[in-house]
Amino acid sequence: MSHFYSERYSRLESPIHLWEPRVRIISLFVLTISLAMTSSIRQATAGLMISFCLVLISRLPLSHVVRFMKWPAIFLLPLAIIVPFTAGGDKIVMPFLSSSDIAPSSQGIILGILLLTRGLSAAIVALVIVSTAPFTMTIRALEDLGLPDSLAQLFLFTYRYVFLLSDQLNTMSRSMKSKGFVKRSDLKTLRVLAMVLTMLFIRSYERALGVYYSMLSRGYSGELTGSDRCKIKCKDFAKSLLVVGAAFGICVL
Amino acid sequence: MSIIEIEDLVYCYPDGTRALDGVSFRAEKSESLALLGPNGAGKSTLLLHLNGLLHGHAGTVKVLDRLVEDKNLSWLRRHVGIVFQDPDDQLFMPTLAEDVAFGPVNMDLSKDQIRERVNWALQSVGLEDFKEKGPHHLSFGQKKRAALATVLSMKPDVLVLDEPTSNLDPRSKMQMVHLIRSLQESGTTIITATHDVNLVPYLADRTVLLDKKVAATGSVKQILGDRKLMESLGLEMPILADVFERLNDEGIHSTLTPMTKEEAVDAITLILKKNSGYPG
Repeated sequence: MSHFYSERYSRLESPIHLWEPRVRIISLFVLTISLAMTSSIRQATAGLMISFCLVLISRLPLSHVVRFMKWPAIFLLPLAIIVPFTAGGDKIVMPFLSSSDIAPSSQGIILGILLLTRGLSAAIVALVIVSTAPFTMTIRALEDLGLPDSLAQLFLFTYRYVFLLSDQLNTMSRSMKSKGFVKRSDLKTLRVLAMVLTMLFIRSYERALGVYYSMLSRGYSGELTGSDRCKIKCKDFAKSLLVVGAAFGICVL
Repeated sequence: MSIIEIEDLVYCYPDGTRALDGVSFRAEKSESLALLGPNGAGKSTLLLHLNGLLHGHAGTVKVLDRLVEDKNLSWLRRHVGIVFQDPDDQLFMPTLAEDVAFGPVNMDLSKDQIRERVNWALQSVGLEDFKEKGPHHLSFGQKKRAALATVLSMKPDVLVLDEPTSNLDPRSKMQMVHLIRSLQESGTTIITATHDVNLVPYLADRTVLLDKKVAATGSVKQILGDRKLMESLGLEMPILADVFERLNDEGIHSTLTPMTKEEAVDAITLILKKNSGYPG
């Protein structure tokens, strides 16, 4: 697993990175809702352009954006292609299609494009939220915004230790291969993989116990103390105003 | 008053296996004590009793003349710091500074005091330039030192270390040993559980041999120099002591058995002078 890949660009110094985390999350969340509710191609296109502007302002490398966007695209593209053929509406006559029943409809094409642009825009904004701050800062901000303390601790510790578990899985996998194990589609392979996963669970439990003892030894009493919170400044509100204004602007287009 | 007093401590694992079978020993203030024993002797289990993480089924544990019990765990954990064997268990915050501050924050210290302690602890272990680094950016040796810093920042009276030098390269081992000794010199009582008999003479003044109960206790030379005692517990003498004991058996060496390199050099110089007129 690529360790902490998503955090590679989390410490740039763009206006988005320097935006107070809580205000940033709320404002971009409002924008995401607005993008998801677009009902016309014009609105969706404007939303997509706003999302790209956010990427440019955040100075995230385009290669990083493209690499991330392939996953939502893999999910959305088939939908965008199928929906024109399954949605109702005025069928488009195509000379090479003998039956109009399998022809795309104009409304279906519009719906497909809408699905694609809405989905991509929302995914881009989500990427900006996640990539412009360290994961732990984002979770702390969510905690301040009402995420239950226990959930926040769950996310933080999972993030801290999931890579260790991944390393352990790789080590176990290497060990198995060194002893001649070959993965096949048979019951024996399934049994071995089940045992490996069981061991991983047991080790993660032991790790959790070790971490818990360590925390108790240092006075832990249920709350995770955090670093100082950033102060919200006027420019943070100004950025919010712009983004929320854009969100409402999309709706009235 | 001893700083740690353990009397007839008995502990059984949930499956009924007796891990500690009537352990009794004391540790004095500013002493450095090494806890030696074979695998399964109960060393780590015993250490967990010192700050109330485990409670014995019989016997007592006292720290600074106070019984270890549920009502004083918060007080206890300010005075007894444990550094566990696996540093990844102890580095759970996003940055090193936050990890080292974790203990002082839970002690309700002021921000200035916390900052001062964090800086001091990181300087003590030589990691002051790694404050904002995450644990994943540290090498294993750095993680071991970082784990120590996370406990040092609480300034405990007693520092308990579980295999502090395991998996460290020779240079890092000696750095850790020097660090531990300097903490002892500043007044901290040190209890170290270790397998590394060769480091014990550098690390500790007194040794407790454990195998579910205390098999022997005495000065480092006394315990580590007793081949029969060490071998009865599946342990070996330090290599230097072992070599000179064999030379002793051959009649070549007759003075005190050296435990450290420096003592060994002196002993060899003496042998050479005696046997060949080596001017030294």
